[in-house]
Amino acid sequence: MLNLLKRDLKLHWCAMVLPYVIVMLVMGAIVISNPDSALAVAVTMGALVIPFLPMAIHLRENSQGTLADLVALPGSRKALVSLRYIEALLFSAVMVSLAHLDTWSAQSAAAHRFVPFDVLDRTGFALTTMPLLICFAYPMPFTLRWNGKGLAVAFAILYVLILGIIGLMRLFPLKEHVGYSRAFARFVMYLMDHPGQATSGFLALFLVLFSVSYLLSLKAFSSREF
Amino acid sequence: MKNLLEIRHLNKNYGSFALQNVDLDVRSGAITGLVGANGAGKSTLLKLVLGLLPPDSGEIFIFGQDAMCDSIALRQRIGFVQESPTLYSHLPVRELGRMVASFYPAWNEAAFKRLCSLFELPLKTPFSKLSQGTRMKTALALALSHDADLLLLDEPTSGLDPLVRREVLELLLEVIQDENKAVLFSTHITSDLDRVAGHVAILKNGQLVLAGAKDELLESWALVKGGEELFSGPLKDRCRGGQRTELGLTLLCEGAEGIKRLLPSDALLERPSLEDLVYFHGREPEAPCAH
Repeated sequence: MLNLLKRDLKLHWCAMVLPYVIVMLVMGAIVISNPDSALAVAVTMGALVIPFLPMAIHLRENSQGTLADLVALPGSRKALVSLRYIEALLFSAVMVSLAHLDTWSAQSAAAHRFVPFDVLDRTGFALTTMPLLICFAYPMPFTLRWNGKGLAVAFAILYVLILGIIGLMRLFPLKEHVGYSRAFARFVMYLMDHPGQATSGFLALFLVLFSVSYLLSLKAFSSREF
Repeated sequence: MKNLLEIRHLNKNYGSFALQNVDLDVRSGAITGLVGANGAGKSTLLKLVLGLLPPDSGEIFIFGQDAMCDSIALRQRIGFVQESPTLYSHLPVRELGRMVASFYPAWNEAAFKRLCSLFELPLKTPFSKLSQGTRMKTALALALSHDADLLLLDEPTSGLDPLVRREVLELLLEVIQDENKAVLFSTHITSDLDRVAGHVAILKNGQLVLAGAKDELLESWALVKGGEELFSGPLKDRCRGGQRTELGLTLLCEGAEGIKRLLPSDALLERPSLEDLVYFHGREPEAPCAH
């Protein structure tokens, strides 16, 4: 596994570093303009891009025609699938650390003193990174099996599902004074007020969906032809 | 000699093309040539052995182990060269060596350097800037530098100039001096196999039509040239293919022994080459071209 990770770092360092640089610059600009902005904003910026990096690496390998060479090298297909999931966690962890550092330095600079780390809003992490890691987990089996086409199909299915949900919401509206958007806002507020519950809830959801996605990916990739 | 690779009743169906019921043994201490026309199924067979394609049915055993078990230890003992290697285009040869080395505990840096020097590989040039022949030489150097017990080479000599081709073939002969090693070498250039292969397997339209020790195969077949009367005589039963031209009939006949007495006096009897076996086997004699 380590040699596969090293290999990826050596071959795709540019594809890995560049998104970090862009995200850090954008995050920096946001945080400097408003040092009190929730970490959630900053992390969202990073998390929107970073968990998808392993998918981008996979697609790059495929388009360059090197995926078959990689599969033929001594390393199981299971290890290759695991590598992509480990990379997603690793890249997100790096992103979250950088986001914390970015926010902390901006807040410290604004306060003209070192702000203690614990004032940073950790709920933001729970509310953004984990659901976005779940977003990574959803199209991954499709991508590993059918590459770019699979990714497009995964998003198309998601789009249809969202349309279906919106349709159902219109068909079955909640009571007039409540409304779905208000109920959702209340739910988010509740999560913000109860960071412990939010974090553990997202962690549980993340673990279940990530595991299901991983198992599906193993199945999808093991039967793939090169 | 033991079988390092055993293929049993292997099937793979693509719809328009099918590899059907292939049985093949690759023995240690020998080079086995897999020969056939373009599209005969050579690359498909090698991909199945490498695990790049899952078979529809059948079994593949490498070093006595089931090849489907996805074993890392098993793959570490295999060296491979794929047809038109597509290694990492931006990496120079030296870096490619370093990268591949991390996957093989038995990597021999000295052997890699020796091969790079033998093939005159430009170590600092990115792979994408190398010619087709030099790319193939790079892939060969990588495959031959980790002391693999089984080499699976898909058209390794295509795109190489005659001098380098000869060097590569000599290198393969050197590999099998160690009687525990074997080479499975696919090609449509039969002259390469004439030079080095001890065993030959001929694929035609996805079927293994002939397989065995090269010399025994060549001795057990005969090429008969003569007039139209050949096809109506006793040879017809032994005929497994042929060609009709304006000059007469050429037939590939099974069982070279005793065939002479069945021949008309003006017929010619020749020992077929490997190319003749590939070309004539299963070929229906056609009507001469009208001019």
